[in-house]
Amino acid sequence: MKIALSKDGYDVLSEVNPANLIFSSEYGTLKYETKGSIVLTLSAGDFGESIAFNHNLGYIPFVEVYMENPVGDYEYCPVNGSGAVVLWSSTFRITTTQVIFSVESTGFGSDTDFTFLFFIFKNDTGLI
Amino acid sequence: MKIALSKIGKSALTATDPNDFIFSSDYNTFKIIVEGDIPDTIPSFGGKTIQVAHGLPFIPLVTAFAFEDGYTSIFPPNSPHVIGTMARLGYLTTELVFNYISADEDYIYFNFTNTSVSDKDVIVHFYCLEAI
Repeated sequence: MKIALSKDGYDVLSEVNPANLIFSSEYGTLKYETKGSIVLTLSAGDFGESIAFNHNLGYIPFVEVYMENPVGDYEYCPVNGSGAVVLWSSTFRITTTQVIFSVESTGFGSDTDFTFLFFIFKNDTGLI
Repeated sequence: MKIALSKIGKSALTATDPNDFIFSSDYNTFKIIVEGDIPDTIPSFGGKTIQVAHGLPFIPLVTAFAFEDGYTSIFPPNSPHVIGTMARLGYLTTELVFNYISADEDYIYFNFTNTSVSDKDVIVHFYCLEAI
């Protein structure tokens, strides 16, 4: 049995273009496991730091990450940013047990917090 | 007709915040329309754009992750493969960079550069989620 819902103006019984369906059981969806945030503090004068979140799923999941930059805006990660006298970038990597967030900068004059907002999905990337 | 499933503790009949629903036919969903693995090799001191036909009747929204052979993590596009950081140096990378994803009516493109002395075997795991 198939379950499908079409967008307004399309016939669910005959529509074959998935872009015109709101939902179809013929296609998987992203199912999210955890939403959370973690704060990485880059010490004054340092150029790089990492911090890990343990997901312990046992496989490498699909993950989406945003980073709150030093001026308070959330940006889609990986991020490259700059201020008047500093540069920074952030990225992440995913293992079977952790999501590891990293920041690199030209060195702030004071301790600086970078907040990562993450969504870990149940979906297994199947890699590794 | 509307179909909706609310989260536990919320009423599917009265909830109005889309975040209170597991699913609601009032909102489109990201469907995993195409998902696949593309293995390839990025040459030493060079770059490569991996091209794959998507076979869809529209330009898809694509996201992906890259796996570099010999490592235990995967990494996103628009990023070097960072395997650690050092306080006084910054990123420690494998010298492989997943530069970007792009797509057109026929193909998806995954661009890498490799500044190391060795060729690098990669697998790109990609998802086509929606029409652009």
